[in-house]
Amino acid sequence: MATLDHALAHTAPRPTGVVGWITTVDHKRIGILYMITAVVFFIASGILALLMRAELAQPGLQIMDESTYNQAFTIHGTGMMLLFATPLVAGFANYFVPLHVGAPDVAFPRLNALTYWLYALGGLVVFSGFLTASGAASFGWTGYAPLSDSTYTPGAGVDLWIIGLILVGFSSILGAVNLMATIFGMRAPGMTMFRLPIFIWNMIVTLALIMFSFPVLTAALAALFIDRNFGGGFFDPAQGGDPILWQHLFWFFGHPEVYVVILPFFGVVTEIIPVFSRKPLFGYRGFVFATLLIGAYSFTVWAHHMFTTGSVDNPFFSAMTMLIAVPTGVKFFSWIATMWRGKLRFQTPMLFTMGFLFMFLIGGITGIFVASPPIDLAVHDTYYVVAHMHYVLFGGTVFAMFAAFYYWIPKMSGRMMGERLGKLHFWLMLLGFNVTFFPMHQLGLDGMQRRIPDYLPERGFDTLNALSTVGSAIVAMSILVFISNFLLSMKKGAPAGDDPWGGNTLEWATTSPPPHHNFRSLPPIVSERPVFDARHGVHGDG
Amino acid sequence: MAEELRFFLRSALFTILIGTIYWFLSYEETGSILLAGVVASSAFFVLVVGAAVRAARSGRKTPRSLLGFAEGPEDRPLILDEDAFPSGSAWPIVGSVAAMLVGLGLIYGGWLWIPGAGLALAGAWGWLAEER
Ligand code: HEM
Ligand SMILES: [Cu+2]
Repeated sequence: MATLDHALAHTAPRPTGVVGWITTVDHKRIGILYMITAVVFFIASGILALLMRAELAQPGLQIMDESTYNQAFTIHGTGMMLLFATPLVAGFANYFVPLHVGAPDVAFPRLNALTYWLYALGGLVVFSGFLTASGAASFGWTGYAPLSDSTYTPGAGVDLWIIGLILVGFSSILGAVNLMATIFGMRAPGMTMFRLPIFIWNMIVTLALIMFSFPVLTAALAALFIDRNFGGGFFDPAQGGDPILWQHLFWFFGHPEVYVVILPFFGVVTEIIPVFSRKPLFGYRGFVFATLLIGAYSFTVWAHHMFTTGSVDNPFFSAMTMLIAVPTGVKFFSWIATMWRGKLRFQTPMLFTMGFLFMFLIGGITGIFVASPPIDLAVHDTYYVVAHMHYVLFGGTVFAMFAAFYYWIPKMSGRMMGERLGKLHFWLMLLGFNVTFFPMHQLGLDGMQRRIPDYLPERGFDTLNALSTVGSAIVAMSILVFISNFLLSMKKGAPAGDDPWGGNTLEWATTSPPPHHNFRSLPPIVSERPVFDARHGVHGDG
Repeated sequence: MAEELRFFLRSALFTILIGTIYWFLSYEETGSILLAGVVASSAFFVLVVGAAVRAARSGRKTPRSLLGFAEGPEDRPLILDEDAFPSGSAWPIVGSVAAMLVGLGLIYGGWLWIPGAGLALAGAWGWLAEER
């Protein structure tokens, strides 16, 4: 057995307080900074969503004009995708990748700090658009040309949106390289690639997606900036450019991006399900290859967002999109087979995991529908699509995020989260989420377009819209329950101990929270469940 | 072949296959070029990661020091080399403020590049001068 003896006496004292946090290069602190900042952007973008829902509760304009509404959904979408979900992934990865592979830190600790600050400042730059005279960007998070050119949306708010997102883009690319180097170069002795936790395999694919897709976005944003400010014509037909080019570039980034914000959470629930079923994961290798396949396919489906342009090969993109259902199905099969006849424990992390499975399944099924061009032609740009994407993004990412928080906050803080408030949070959120978004399917089928602040009373949209707004208030309440639970638990939650859940992976082999540089000793690693092996006295030949 | 290499090799081969089908089905240039970009980037990683793996195997850089462990005989417990890790640094935040100022200068005027460039130089110098 290999033991890691920390030469603790030699450790320089760490700066504490604000200075300590600002100058930190510790992956755990940077991870926490990422998570807190991401949640702040979640709340800010969520407040924009609540304002939109308040506006839509009844016909007519009540609380904002059309232009403000445009800014609200643009910054809501941008904020949720690029300032909340993606950096949240970076937060979990920062904290848990080194722990999972048995490393003392990431490969390039200073670079790690740089990526965090680039992101935080970039996010502020995007939101600062609201302070400019002409307001924030207002063409949707997709920034379609020619809406985003200097004729249709002049004003500094758009340029701030572009510059802010370029900073965030650089942050994501550099962060991905850093974490990939950590996984490939810093695994503890015995941690072979096929003993890596599934969370790490999902991260590997996610990082590759970031490395191959974010440069496309960053370049497209630079081109847009040149078009707007330096007389370029990339997206302007009058100068030989092409607005469809923007759509290709955006979605070549945009589709992998939706996997960037879902694959890590597939990883999270794949860690949680075996622990709360008291069984090993069913089909480890099958799961790994399903992940690789999903990643590879995700680069070949981008134009399913462009069926209605009439200028892409619809059958090709439709077929490729439906093929993704196969590896995703393999994963669902593994999850169910893992739970089958297991000793299931429905504590809060597992409840949120169940919420994730069912909600993501609904979003996946409506996804198969809109992957069919004839159906998409009918529902494109309606609330059906808004319903679909929130089942995937909220039902997927947000539910799994809370599963991860309830599972890992004890490790990060040393204190358990309250179970009662946790369960209340879960049921309120499940209720509120479905009341908000399920009616949107019907609204979409009835023909209500997305991105409108108003609708005619005789269209009959008002009842379902009012219902949806009530739902969004319930979601907001559930978030308040979470925040109170968090604050209370940090004050007087029960001590967590090293391994409160009976975990499998290496983070449970160290203290809660882990010491500087993570491990005092490592158990021998002879399978993908080293902590389980150590608990049950399994010894390999290592 | 190391599994790390196979990962990028698979991604290159898969994208070559799909990209070829895509080109002959659509003759659409933007997407085909982007897919070729994915192939080229994956191939680049095969080369870079491949070189790193070979370097590690040939003993020029042993895995132990790559991991931040002190060198020593194989049977001794692994001693973490604390000196291999920086304990804190102000330069990352300086560098990112510099990047932001340079970006904002593109919108609000080049005068912002003066503090931006100053901070960028200070950040780069400080970063490189830091011992660990
Ligand atoms: C409290 C929870 C949420 C509510 C009430 C909400 C509500 C809405 C509404 C009403 C729209 C449509 C606006 C329109 O088309 O007129 C929208 C758009 C959108 N939402 Fe959400 N949302 C929530 C959470 C999320 C989350 C968690 C994500 C992603 C992680 C997200 C991502 C998006 C995106 C990408 C758009 C499209 C923006 C655009 O059209 O450019 N939302 N949301
Ligand atoms: Cu897509």
